[in-house]
Amino acid sequence: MRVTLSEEQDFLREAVAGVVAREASFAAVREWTDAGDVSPADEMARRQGWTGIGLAEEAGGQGGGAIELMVLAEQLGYGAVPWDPTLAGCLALPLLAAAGPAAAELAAAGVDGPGAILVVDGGRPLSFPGAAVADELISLTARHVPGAAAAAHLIVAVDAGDEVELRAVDPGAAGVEIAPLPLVDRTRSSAAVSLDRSPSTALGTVPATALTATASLAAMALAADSLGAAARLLELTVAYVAERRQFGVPVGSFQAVKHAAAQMLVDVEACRSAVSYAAWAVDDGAEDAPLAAAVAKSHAAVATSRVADRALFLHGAIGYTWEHDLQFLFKRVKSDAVLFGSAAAHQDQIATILGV
Amino acid sequence: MDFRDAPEDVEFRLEARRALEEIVASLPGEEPATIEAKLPYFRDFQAKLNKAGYAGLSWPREYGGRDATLTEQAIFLEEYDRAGAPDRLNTLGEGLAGPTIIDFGTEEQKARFLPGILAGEEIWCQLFSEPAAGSDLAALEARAERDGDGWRLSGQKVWTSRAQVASYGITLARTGPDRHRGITYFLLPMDAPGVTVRPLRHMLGEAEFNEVFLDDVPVADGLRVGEVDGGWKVAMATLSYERVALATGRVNLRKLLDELVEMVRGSEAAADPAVRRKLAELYARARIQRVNGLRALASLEGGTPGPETSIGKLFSAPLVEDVADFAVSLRGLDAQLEEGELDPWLRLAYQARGTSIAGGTTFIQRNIVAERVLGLPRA
Repeated sequence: MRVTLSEEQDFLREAVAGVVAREASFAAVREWTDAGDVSPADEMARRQGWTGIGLAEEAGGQGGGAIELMVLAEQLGYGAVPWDPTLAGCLALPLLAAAGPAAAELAAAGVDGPGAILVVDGGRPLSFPGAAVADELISLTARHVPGAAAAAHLIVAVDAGDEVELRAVDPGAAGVEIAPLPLVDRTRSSAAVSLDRSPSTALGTVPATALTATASLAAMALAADSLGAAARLLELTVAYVAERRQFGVPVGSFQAVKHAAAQMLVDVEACRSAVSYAAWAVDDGAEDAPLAAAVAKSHAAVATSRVADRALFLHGAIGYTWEHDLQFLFKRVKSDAVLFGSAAAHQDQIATILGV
Repeated sequence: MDFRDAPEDVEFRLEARRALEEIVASLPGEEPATIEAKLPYFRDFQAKLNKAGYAGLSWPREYGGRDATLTEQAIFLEEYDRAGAPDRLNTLGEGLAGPTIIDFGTEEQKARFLPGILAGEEIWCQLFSEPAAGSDLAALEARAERDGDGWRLSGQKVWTSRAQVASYGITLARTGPDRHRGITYFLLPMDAPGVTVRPLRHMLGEAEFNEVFLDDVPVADGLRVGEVDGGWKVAMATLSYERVALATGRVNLRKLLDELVEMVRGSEAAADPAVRRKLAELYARARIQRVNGLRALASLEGGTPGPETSIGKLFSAPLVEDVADFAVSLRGLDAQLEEGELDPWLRLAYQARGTSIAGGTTFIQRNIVAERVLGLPRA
């Protein structure tokens, strides 16, 4: 049993943390989101090879799997760094790699250039988008598709019983509409996608269980992202209450403040436990991976939101301002809590798995 | 990361599972509810456990233990829960008094007391808390005065669980004026003249813990542990021994959650989305608690306990309360019937409140986490 990162995984964590500190500070995030152009973050991800995590090196990727994606997600959440296109690409990689040569080629191309992303409704646990296919023409609508606006290929998963058929649609093709849905969390890239009898290419098929694994991967990654943001919120809060003085003493010496901070740590560490186990289970293909991912996502959604609320409250009015960096993490946690399924949606999944 | 057992641990787990299953199957009927009735049941169990080689798991082999690694201890606790083994009535003996005697006791004390603990023959209690020394243990006022070769102990202890069935108690008494360096540690025979055990009924009306009055109790110097005035160090060690149990939690959450899922499954309540979600939330927290424990253990093995060890009680105590409250709520007022046997979930719901107060209250734990882990300034 080993409940901590391996040396190699820890090295990745340090590397990502270093890049985030140097190239994606809050100042940079503020500049990108103010300008309404977060593409520098996408370029950074590509330069660092993060777009290839989850695709074997011999297939043109960076190797790694769910644990490496967890490491990446946590560090990018820690910095509130925009990365939806990279995330969406990484989620599609294992499916594409398993679906045959044409799909694998798209996967490899996405590592160095704009990627192929799954067209899925980001407002609920990842599942089929409910596409209608007739004569290679696809129709569907999906809201809150992460990373759609920057994608080179739209991948549609079509329910084919025991199998999932993957079809590719060119974003420039007839009937394709991609309408950005700007969120108050400006680090996100959400869009409504509608396909109206759009021409598509069959890429191949994967077993139905492969989409379940992708859903678990997505839930785990979002939980990891919010864990990173929550850990940073705790750090900022501890630093602030130790420094801020009222009544002649640091406010962090007041028991009410200490207790709130201690509960934040409990929440952060519990999320870390949940996310670590889920990442391992997904990576390992363990039988309880869907359960573990739903546990991580449902718990993180509630616990990290609570951390964000306490962090804001303990900062007082300054934390509520546009100028303070807390806003990036606060909003990130709140959108993480819903993207790829709310706590309630994942609790429903847990109940179903338990046979209730 | 790899959450699977290492090959050598797989072996240990299977052996422990087989042994526990066999022992539990050999016990006479259901475990009784009251502490007095539990005693013979526990002794039967402990004797078999000892024979199978699983008593004193963490103790060195030379004292009859197994020298188990932290991981093996955690695995054993998981298998213990899985087998639905009975309440360990002598955790204070096996988990606290025993290791204290091993680390600080004399050879005579080791020979006299350790075998009785392993075999389940002598139950121990812990006489630390006093009316004016709860969260602030060093404020204790019980006194030990020299009397020839021995000592005379006087004072009052309180909230002493299992004192009514205990043969011995570990206790602290003041031997000097210094707050910390004026305390001495003793092993107190509960049948000594001058020891009066008065049951305290808790709010459900049952006598779970006691007041213990010490009135000029003669205690031989051979029952002193550690130096005169050096008991605080020994007491701190005592409190640290149960770290594995503390880290991994002492309530059989696995069994509780399985029962809870079973209760909801197929019931009318299962159609209620709020019930389904609450059940799922609790199930999720119980799974997380297990990983919290594994991580805490790993950090203990590293030598420097990390933040995961400190959050154990703060995460688990409210979880047990919430699990019990939820189960009680499903049964409505019927769960609160007083006649006959009390509903076990109701009993747990009340016990869980006690847990939040015992062994360092939730507020004390938060202070510890804030000051020692997060480094916030003391008031």
